[in-house]
Amino acid sequence: MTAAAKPLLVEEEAVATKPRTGAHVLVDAIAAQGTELVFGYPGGAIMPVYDALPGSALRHILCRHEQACAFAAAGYGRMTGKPGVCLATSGPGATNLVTGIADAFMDSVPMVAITGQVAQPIMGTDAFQEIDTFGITMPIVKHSYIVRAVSDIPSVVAEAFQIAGTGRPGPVLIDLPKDVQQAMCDMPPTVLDAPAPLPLDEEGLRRAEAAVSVAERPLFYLGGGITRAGATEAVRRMVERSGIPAVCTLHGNGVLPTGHEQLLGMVGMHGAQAANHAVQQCDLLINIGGRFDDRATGRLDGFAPHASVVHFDCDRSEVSKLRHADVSVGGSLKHAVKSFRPEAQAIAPWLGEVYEKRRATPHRYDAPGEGVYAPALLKELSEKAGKRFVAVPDVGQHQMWTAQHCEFSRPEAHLTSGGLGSMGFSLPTAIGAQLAEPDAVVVSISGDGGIMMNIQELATLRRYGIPLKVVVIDNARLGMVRQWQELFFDGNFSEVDLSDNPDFARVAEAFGIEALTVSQRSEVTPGIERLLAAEGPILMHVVIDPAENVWPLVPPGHANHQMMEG
Amino acid sequence: MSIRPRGNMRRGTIETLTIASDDVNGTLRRIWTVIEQRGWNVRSLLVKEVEGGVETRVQVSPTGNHRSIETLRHQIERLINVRFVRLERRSREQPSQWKEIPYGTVI
Repeated sequence: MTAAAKPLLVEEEAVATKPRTGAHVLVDAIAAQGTELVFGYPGGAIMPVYDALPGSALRHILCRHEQACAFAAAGYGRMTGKPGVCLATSGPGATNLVTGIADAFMDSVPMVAITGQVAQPIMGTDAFQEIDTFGITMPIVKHSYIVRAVSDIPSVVAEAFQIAGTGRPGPVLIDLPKDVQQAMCDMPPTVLDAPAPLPLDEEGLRRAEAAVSVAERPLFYLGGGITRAGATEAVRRMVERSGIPAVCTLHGNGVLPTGHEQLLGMVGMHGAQAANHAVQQCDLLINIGGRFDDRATGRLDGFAPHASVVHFDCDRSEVSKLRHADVSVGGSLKHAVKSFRPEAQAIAPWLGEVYEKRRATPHRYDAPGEGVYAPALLKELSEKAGKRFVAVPDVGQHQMWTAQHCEFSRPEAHLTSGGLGSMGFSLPTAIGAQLAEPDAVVVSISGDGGIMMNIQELATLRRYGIPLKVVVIDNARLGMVRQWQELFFDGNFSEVDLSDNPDFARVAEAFGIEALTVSQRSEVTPGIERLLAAEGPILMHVVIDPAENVWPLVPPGHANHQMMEG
Repeated sequence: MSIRPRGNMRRGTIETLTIASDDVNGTLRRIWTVIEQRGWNVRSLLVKEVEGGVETRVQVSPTGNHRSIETLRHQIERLINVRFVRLERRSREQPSQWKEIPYGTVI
């Protein structure tokens, strides 16, 4: 064809009709879902996708380990309610994603994970970096795909985003063979309409209201499903209208802001005494979006022994899974809560009892000595950070101190690995959260054990200038394991000594990140002020007493009223 | 090493589920995974094509205490390509026309 004979197309039309590789189709399909950020790490079987990324509508964040890509994507999903996207190659790239995908599955976080796969003709031959990603991830995804034809890419991507982000959210995996990435296709992106909302469970609601009307000691039990359903404001209004007191689970922290007059605190193993007391004494427990996790319930047959249970959940499989529900309310949690009109009668004596218990059992911050008391530091940090504060703890003692002592203005202010309990969670998740909400004061709070599991992500902070605040609470031990060995294994301390840790401040400086160390109580306030004033990434290394424990504690296998005090 | 059934392979309560699903690759594997992941054994499993999809008849036994077959039913039903799950209580009086297949034969 001569130049003069070329069809006259404007550039946009040319792009729409010109066959492109499957990789380009994929990138466009992701962007069409409203995604702007992807967290990834390149490798052989995903190289066509990386070839298509430059110049696309997607901003790629190169983490330094695929596990961090998955955590960061889920951090974005936790913060926004929209699916975060991570990208990795086949084989080890995919297996490195697994912990992050499992974490998202356990905590019902919307996420789409895309993995390269060896080309279809060599699948099943033990090819280089071939692994059965689809099979390995099957128990930890909401759904998954192996894309067999390039023309399927737009519809698979659209479905994946819809599945990940609707109903009970969760991770969806797309495994994409290399030959599919390289095949040519002219399919435009697909965007699906939002699914119709589930019908309102009118009968369940009326039965729930009837249960409340005859209860003398009703109690709300607020779980993480409220956040996932985008129902925080609806729940706040309903709870306040009802006048009924409330407890929250670990993931329910922030549904009612810290200090709310009806909130008795967090329930469970390291919960507030007033909250656990109320659960054990109530005669009606109204569970909204909680799943009766064992860390919240303690010994199940001793949990809320006098209570009938009303359970709101969009996932029917959670109802009566662990605790029999006398009344269940299915369908959309948000719509159900908006339509719920609980009218409690004659609960004044109950309110007097639970509020008096809360008044009589405050947290104490007058620890002896001159060393840093982590609960007091975390409380002060959250107070000084204000309403834009977002805590992203890792897993262990500091995680529980964060849940107990920080102030949360909203549930998104507390991103925590509640279900899987993944050490290494904090730093990459906080990166995802900070990029999702640049104006938030996001603080990654790690122990000295957990920070070492993804410490390479300090390089990601430096690379993109992400203004994250990293706090490393260093007791030179695996603190929670050490605490359990002290209390339940006769003090036989086995493999918990981390006193050969590096100097974390110097490590941060080696990554090009500002750092400081706080080891005395008098240094706490200036340290927090410097941390919060920093414009770029900063790490604060906090040295604490290795013998410090988390209190109160419900010992494993005990009921929630059997709390130990320090 | 003994290969005789022990522990979680003991015969106990047997529940029968009939699962209607799309004919999509991986669905059967996904169903099996959920059953074994959630504290049940697959004792037998039969699949037949039906118009527009697949019908799977599966017999399961619990491996742990306090396993609710209703919970398992919902856990399978929430899979994306599953249309519905029907629970059929095994009846001595009206035995199923689907003959139980010994676990070892299936494996």
